[in-house]
Amino acid sequence: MQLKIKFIIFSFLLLLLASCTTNKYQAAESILKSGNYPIAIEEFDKLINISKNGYEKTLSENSRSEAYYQLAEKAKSLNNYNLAIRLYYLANSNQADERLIDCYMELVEGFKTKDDKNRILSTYNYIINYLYLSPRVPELMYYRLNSIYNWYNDKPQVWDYYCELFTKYPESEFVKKSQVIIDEFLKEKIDNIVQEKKNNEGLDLIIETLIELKKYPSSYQIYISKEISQIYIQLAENDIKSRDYIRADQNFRKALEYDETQNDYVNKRLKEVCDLFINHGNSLLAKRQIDDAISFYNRAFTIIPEYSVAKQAIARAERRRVEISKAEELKQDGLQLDRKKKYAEALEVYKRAYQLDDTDELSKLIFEMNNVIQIEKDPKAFALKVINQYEGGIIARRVAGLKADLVKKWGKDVRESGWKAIGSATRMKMELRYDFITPDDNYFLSWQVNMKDKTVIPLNKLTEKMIGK
Amino acid sequence: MKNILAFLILVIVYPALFAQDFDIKVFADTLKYKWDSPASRYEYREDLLFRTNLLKKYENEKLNIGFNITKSMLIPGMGHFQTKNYLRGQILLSTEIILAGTTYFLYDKSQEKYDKYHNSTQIDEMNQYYSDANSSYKQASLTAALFVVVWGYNLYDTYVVTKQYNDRLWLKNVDKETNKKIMLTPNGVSIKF
Repeated sequence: MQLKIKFIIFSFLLLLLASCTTNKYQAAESILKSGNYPIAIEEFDKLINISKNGYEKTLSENSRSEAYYQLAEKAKSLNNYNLAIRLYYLANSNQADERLIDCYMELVEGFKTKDDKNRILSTYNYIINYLYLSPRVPELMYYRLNSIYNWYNDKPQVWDYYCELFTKYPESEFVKKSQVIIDEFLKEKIDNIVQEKKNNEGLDLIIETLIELKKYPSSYQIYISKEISQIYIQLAENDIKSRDYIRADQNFRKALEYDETQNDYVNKRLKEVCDLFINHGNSLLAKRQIDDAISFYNRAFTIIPEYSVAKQAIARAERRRVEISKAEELKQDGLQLDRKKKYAEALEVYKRAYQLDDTDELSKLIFEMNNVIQIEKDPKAFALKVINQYEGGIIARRVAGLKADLVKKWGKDVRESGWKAIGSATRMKMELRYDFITPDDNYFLSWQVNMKDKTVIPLNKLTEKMIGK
Repeated sequence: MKNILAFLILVIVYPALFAQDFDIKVFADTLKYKWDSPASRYEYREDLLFRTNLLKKYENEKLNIGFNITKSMLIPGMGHFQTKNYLRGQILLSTEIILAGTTYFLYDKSQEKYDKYHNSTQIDEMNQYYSDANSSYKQASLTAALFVVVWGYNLYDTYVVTKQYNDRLWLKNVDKETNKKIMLTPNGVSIKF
């Protein structure tokens, strides 16, 4: 009989042991249900500290949170906000956080009656910074922003708060509400920024600031865009002045991105930039730098693709290349004919070459070939013609002058030789002489005439003096 | 019996002897759970929510300790099989079978000797059979007592292993869900929120 009793006690203890932990949790739960929250919290705290079972711990933590919440509700119903705030904080749940904010807002109402602005703002700041996951934070951010604007008119601070609100809660209805306040001073802010552009310095920074402003919703989005566009145009114009056309093009296009109404002006200016490329190309073409010219024409396409003027210019440059090449061939042909003494044919070929490529070299060749043809006909007459036409007939006038002076002094005693040509025209040169003989003195005037290039060289000091060399 | 009653009274009275006064400042101290920043407070909440979401799954998968002990009561080692402690279950089950078999064999043997003792007519035979029957009966009682001890241990151990199983199950579920949140992908580590 005694053995049976021992066996029953043993089995009972065993079952007691088996259900021991569960009973601790259930005991704490029953304390919670009975409304003895502080004791329940203490029991849950103990259980959480000692239990090795995560399930039980989790249940206990949830129940503890509920106990704190219920206790906080009691404290709040007794208007003990300080305690309620602490207990809601310890409850650490979304529901508790909302009630916590309710407590703070009721405190704020009290501060408002005392006009305690600092404490109101501190409370808003606390909620915003410490309970930032609450869905009511945007609302509080709006209240803070509104208060700062109305009480202190601190526009930079208001703008910073607005940026923070929009960055964190772009979809919030309080962004729109805050925008009404922002709109009151944003235009002035934009105008102050834009005013700096008059100095024509730091334009990039102004654009950067305006783009930053544009990120945040306001009623001045279009206004900001137009201002950004204007500054890009200003930058582009500066680029044109410094001949950085590619960058000018980029800036013009950026200007269009912000304001499409500038399309006509930008297109006109882009065309003008293209024309600058074309003009520069033309000047290179005039200098016979055909590849460089084409390269410049091509640069116009980076600004206006299929730009017809550039296409025409390239075609013209290619034609010019062909003409120069052909002119060179003709020149070589002319030189061949010259060597064969076929001067008339050579002259024709040079003229044709000159029509294709009016170079100084070809011009000189034509001039010389004309002279050679005349030398061939009558070298002496041509030499005389050269000396008579030399520098508008200066030699003929001086000789006549000398003669007049001598006749005046000596009368009929003066004898003159007239123009005498000495030498042959084989080397395209001839010496021309004119002598005066007086009783007192003799004047032997002598020049060498290079007939091919129609140049005259004085051969003595007298003739040198006569033509002033 | 008196000792047990005294122990129970001590257990009940002990906490009251050392109970401290209730301090509201300590009780409502917002730093008592070491939430020294908003981030750490939200982190705790997130973790609790994560674990709370696992409660249902755990409740569905966990083993009921009482039910498992009942199984082990009926078939020793059965509770161990439920907790996947197969070796311990097999050892306990086979030990119980051997002990039960041995008890039955020895008891049967003692009964046989006892019958022979009843049917014997000579004094020497009577003494011999009685002695043999008595010896076998004592051995049978001993193995029966061993059977009960092992059975009792089997129940206690079922409680221990079931508790351990449940604890492990919780940790396993937490690990599994954590790994779902943090996964290694070809592009690197991806964290799901």
